[in-house]
Amino acid sequence: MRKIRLRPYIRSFSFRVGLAIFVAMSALLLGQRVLIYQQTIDTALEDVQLIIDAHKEEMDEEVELHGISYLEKSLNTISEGIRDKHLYMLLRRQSVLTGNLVEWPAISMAGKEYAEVTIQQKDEDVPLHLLVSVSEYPQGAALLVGYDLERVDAMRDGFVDLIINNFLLSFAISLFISTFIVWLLVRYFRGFNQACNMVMNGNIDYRIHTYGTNDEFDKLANNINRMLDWIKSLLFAFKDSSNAIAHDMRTPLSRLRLELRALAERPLLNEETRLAVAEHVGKVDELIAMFENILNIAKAETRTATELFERVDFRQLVKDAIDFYQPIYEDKHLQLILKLPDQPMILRGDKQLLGQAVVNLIDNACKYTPEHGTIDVRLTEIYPAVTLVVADNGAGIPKDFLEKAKERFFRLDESRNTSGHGLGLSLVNAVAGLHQGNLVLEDNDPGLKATFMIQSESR
Amino acid sequence: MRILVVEDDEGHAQFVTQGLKQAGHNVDRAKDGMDGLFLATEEKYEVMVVDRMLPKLDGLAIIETLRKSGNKTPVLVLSSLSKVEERVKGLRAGGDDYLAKPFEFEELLARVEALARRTTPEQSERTKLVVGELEMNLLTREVMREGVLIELQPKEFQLLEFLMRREGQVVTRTMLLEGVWDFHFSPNTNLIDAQMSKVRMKVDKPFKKALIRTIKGAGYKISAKD
Repeated sequence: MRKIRLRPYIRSFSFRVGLAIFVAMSALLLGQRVLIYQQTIDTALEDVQLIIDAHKEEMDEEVELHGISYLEKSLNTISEGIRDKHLYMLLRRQSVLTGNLVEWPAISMAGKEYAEVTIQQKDEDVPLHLLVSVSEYPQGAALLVGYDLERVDAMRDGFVDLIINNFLLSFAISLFISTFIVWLLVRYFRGFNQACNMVMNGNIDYRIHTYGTNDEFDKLANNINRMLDWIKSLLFAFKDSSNAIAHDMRTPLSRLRLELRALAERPLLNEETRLAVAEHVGKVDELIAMFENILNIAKAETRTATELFERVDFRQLVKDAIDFYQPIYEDKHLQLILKLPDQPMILRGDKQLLGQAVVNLIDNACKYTPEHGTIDVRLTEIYPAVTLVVADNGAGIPKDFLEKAKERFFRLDESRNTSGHGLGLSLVNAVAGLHQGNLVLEDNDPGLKATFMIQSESR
Repeated sequence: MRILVVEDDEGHAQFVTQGLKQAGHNVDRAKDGMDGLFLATEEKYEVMVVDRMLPKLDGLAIIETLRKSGNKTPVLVLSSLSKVEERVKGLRAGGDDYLAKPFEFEELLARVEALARRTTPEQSERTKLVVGELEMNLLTREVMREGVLIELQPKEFQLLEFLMRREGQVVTRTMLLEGVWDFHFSPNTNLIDAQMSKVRMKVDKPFKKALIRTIKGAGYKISAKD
């Protein structure tokens, strides 16, 4: 059986709104109906009381006019079934009972005008439930006038039905209302969510649809849209300025390099100076490479750099990068375990940035793995995710620094004499982000395991 | 060879024109986009070197204008803008090759000369490449030298093919990276030398005469002549 996961539903805003409306509706409807119910029962009881009072008064008058004996006689006729069959009367006179009840009920009327009693009649299955009142006469005589509460009891019995009824009704109403509200909200929130996703994925021109109602949601949507306009203008300003920086920095650096080269060519220079100058040319090159890397990272991080996206065979790309480093594995006697799929792996992406990312991962692995070490490269695709794992058993990165290693200019040990500026993994991370993926660094114990995941249809 | 250099930066312009003149070329230089376009349309050049960002008229605009008027002179675009993106833009505008600043003069020279050769009949239709005793069959992908079959890995084959198609020309490491691997960034270029030495081990080592030569400060060249 399929396990239904409830948690996401319970957590959803729609569910909570529905539940809140349901609880509120139930409480409201129930309260209202209990009130009406109470009033109805009270009115019914009052009616019974009026009937009892009317009969009592009549009997009192008869006693006053004709005496108790006359009442006794007339009660005998009542007991034979005339008048109202819901009406019961019983006269007690020196332990003689006259009327249509078999016994005098054990009740104390202390201070009360009416009391409810239950009396078992001789030839009836169901006991009688009566509202009674008692008139006292001289010489210990007393008259009990009762009226059965059949109708009132029926009303009282209807209470459970009423609760269920109420529950169903409020459920139906709240379902209707909450569905409507949720539909309304979802319509907006879906738009908001979609816009956020689109923009985060580099679709900077996407805007939330507004309905022109000028309600709170439309206002919010308009505000978010205005914010997106602003972000877009910042992004463009950033692109412009980084292009300008690239141009303004590269030109003088390039000129500096030309001058250094010209200097090295001078005939009177001794060999030592010549070498020193050549070394500085190398430093300028490094500076330019670093600069290029920073701009590339920044560009990839904006996630809008998708104009160069094309169809790329990622398997071939990984293969080429692996082949390219062949001389290093041989030189360092590294064992390479390579698992590539049999079929080409076509995806949409920036070929050069992807190539650089893969080269950086392999370059890192080669750099930090000692001689006779092992490098494990695996490429898998579980559509739409493409995953490249590059694991080595070299020095690795301490656990506390695994996250930091993705930041710019992070270098584990400044004194360690390896080339690079701590930009390699940070570029890999930015490139993964540009392709809607991520880079996960883990301890391979020993060594580093880098998992580079991207989406094959990220654009 | 007549070459037009359109470059506004004095330092770079001097460096490029002097270098090209020393290599035996006839060089004209334009200081801005308008002059460049004027010279390019009035005179006849075999290759043009055009900077991307120029006063008055943008480098890419010059190329686009020339291409629209049917001028097919090969153009090498120079730029100090970010490499990969600009390369695509330059090529889309009708440029034939792209070089990012800073560059080695040898790199520029090799590319300019390669561009000039491209105007001679297209080589892609050929099924066989021959350099001296070395023969490469492009259909069967077999390489023979002096009647001996040489076994090459796919990438080694591509490296050799790239060189043989440019017989007698200097091929730089960057050109190899771009042409064989399609890497338009600069990974460890020493690896190119290591890859190249494997090719030479197979193609030259067992034989008397070396066909592939290292050109100091530039790259490699394959030639049957000494």
